[in-house]
Amino acid sequence: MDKLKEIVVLSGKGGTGKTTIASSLAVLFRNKIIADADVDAANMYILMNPDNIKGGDFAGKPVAKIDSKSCINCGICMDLCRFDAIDIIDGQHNIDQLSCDGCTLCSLGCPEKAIQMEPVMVGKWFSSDTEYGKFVYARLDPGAENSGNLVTMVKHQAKLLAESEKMNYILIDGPPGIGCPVTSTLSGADYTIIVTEPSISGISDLKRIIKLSDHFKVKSGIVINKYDINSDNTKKIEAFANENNIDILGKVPHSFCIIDEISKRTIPVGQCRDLKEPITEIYKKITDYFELQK
Amino acid sequence: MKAFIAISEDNGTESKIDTRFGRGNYFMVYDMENDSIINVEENRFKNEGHGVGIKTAGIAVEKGCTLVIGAQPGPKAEQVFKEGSVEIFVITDGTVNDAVRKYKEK
Amino acid sequence: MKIAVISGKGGTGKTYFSTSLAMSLEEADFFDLDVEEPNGYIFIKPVISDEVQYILPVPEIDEDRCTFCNKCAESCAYNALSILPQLQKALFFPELCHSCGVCSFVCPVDEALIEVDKDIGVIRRGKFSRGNFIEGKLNIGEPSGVPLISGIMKDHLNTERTVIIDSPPGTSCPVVESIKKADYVIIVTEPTPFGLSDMKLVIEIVKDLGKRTGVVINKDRGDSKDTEEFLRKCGIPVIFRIPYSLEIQKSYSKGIPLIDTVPGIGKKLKRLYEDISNG
Repeated sequence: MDKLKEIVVLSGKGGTGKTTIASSLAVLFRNKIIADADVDAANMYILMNPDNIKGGDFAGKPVAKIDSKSCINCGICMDLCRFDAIDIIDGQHNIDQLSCDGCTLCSLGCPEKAIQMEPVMVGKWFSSDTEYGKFVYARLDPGAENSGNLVTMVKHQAKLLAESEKMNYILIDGPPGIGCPVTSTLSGADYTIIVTEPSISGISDLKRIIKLSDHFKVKSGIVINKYDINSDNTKKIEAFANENNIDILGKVPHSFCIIDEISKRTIPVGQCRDLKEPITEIYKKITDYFELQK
Repeated sequence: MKAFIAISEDNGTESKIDTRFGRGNYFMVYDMENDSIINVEENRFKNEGHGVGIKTAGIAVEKGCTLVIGAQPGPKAEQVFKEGSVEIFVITDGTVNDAVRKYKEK
Repeated sequence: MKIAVISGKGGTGKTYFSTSLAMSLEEADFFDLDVEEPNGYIFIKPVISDEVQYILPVPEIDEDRCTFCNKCAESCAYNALSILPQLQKALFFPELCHSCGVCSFVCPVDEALIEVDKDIGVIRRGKFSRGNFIEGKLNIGEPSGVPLISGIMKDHLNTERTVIIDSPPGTSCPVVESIKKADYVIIVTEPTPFGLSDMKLVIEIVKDLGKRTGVVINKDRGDSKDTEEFLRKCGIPVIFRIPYSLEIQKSYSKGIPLIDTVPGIGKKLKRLYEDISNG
């Protein structure tokens, strides 16, 4: 059996068409598990139409809780806390769960041992069947922290499934940005597809995400979405890719067909010719790359 | 020489190698000269957030292991192994027996 | 009046809207708190006057004094320390550190573990045509933007002034941090199933925080029925619409602000601000 390969779709900037590209590739790839690691704002499920959904709760890092019976309101915890998570409400010291980082310092410093660390449920993960294969996704409760851990959980579940089903690929729709959830998505990946757009913001974010991907020594390739919106900027992206030895995997034009298909909650690659050609090219370049690695 | 092996089940030398280094289900310490298991323990850290590989690597070094057999450790765990001059032999499938044999054949 | 502009989903036009809102007013400060990807400067075009590193404390271990008791590593909730007694080595991984101070609190040896400064990002300050510009930019590989966001809000917020805040995308901690001190929250959405799904999540956050809220529908092609119906049920008003147009997208890609792209939109934005501040 071939070694399992993890392909991650990232963007840096949000809204560049990451999920459109990831879901369309999910139609082309064979023998894969699909995963949505954008747990903050998961919406690949909208296009995947999941069925036979199973899953479980996700416990975040334990956070501190004050037992008001033992608390003598000495205020030591409040002085120690570096996350401004402790307030006085009605004369009683209280920890704001949203602000608590789970560091345990207040609990270590409390002279009355009145502070305990307790796990909180901060999200849910799911595995499901779809027309295009098994699909793992998750949802973080709004306002919760720790999406990096939930990403790790999604990737882990996808990996277990991939091993038991003897799959060749895990195709992951990643989170936007360059923070902890993105780091968790990149760690252990074999290929990063970076979806960008030819806007000034798109280019600046592209450079930041490439740096991060290099840091993890993950091979990356670029997809330019809506390339025809600004041909000067598209040229700049191509020049940047050239200088840095990064492949341009494909270019997708601006297309009302794509927007309309997504509004109908369908993966646009089937109906939109504008998209089909570049997606096929992207697919081919990536599979060729892995072929060469053997 | 003592080897540190992350395994997915506790089944003696027929245990399967875990595909994850830091988040393996069990750790085995193996005596490479006498081909015998020194001990197996459950991985207490596998569900922690970040830096699990660092903790696992620290345990391996502390147990006096100079060889790690199994999945590729992350860059931070690798740094710990470098400090401890621990050799890393990457293998991602098969059993402990298979892995030890392959190491000796290399 | 402090107005935070959020979106849930990325790329809905949050920055594009918030920058023009700030530029439509006679006097306003602009805070770019989208610290992972601060892009407001592209449209605001500020003159930057100073740039300071944002610093957090991290541990530094003196291996000559350290007894390798392992208390610091055991207590670290983020696994950022590794103590190897046999090798007399203490390793620290700054990317994992949250600067909580637990390690220095538990260390039993005098001066074996001290806290030193580490840059996590940069705060850029300057002026634009309407007032002060402040931007936070997180260093690549840093685990969380929350300390940088809360630091800016603590040190730089002038409560006397009108402030437009460009918040991070998503629905997690950094968003909460950026809207805590806001009087009003504007959600910029797009009328796609993705936009709707993410908008529902951020509405839960603003509800939890009890903030006054209004929604801006961007990329409107007259297909926003589902979005409007949902908002009606929540009792949240649609306060502004920006039509879908290729012209706007092209102009955006060149860094030209909305206010200079659509004639007359500046006046409408100004009126919107007045309506919001009059409650």
